Amino acid sequence: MLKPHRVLIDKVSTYTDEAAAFIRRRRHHRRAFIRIQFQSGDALDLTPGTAESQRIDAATEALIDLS
Amino acid sequence: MTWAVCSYTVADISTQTTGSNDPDHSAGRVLENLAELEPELVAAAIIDADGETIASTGAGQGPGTAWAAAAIELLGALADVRDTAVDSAHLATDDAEVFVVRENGLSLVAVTGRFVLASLTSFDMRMALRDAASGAGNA
Repeated sequence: MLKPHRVLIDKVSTYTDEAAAFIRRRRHHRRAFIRIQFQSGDALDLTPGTAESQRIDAATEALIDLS
Repeated sequence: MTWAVCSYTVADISTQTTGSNDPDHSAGRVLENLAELEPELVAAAIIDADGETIASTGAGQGPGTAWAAAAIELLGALADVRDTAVDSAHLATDDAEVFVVRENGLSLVAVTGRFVLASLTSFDMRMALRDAASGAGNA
């Protein structure tokens, strides 16, 4: 049988692990992305920082700002 | 003993046309319907193959506005990514999301709030574009 303080430490570490995972998931979900589906059936997740993505990003930001 | 009798009358309405045949009016009604379906919809416009805005959710997105110019720029930027035609696009920033769906030579560009149900929004937009193309938005 575990000592009582061990149980407490295990519980606390479990909760902090859960909280850290929640923050990681939220950060992952909140990241900006560009996903394009082509009529050929191909899909593309555009890499941030490329010239193409920067042009699309600029137009997207303009649309959102003007909405 | 009495029996309840229930009967149905089924009508084939697939070939019926209702309302006016004005495509702009039809597209406008389609966007109104889409706005009712999508409470997170902020702004949207339907743009034809020539880059003309044929319907929008508000005056701020109408033809010749900065919003329409940005939407056309976005469509051009997406088209330049590859040689093959774009079917749809989903773009997200920290604050909002932008959806683009193309169907029957029409493009529907919509700005929504963050974390909308992407597949549902895309499906509703595609159905809206099909309605706009067929003139069913007059119903």
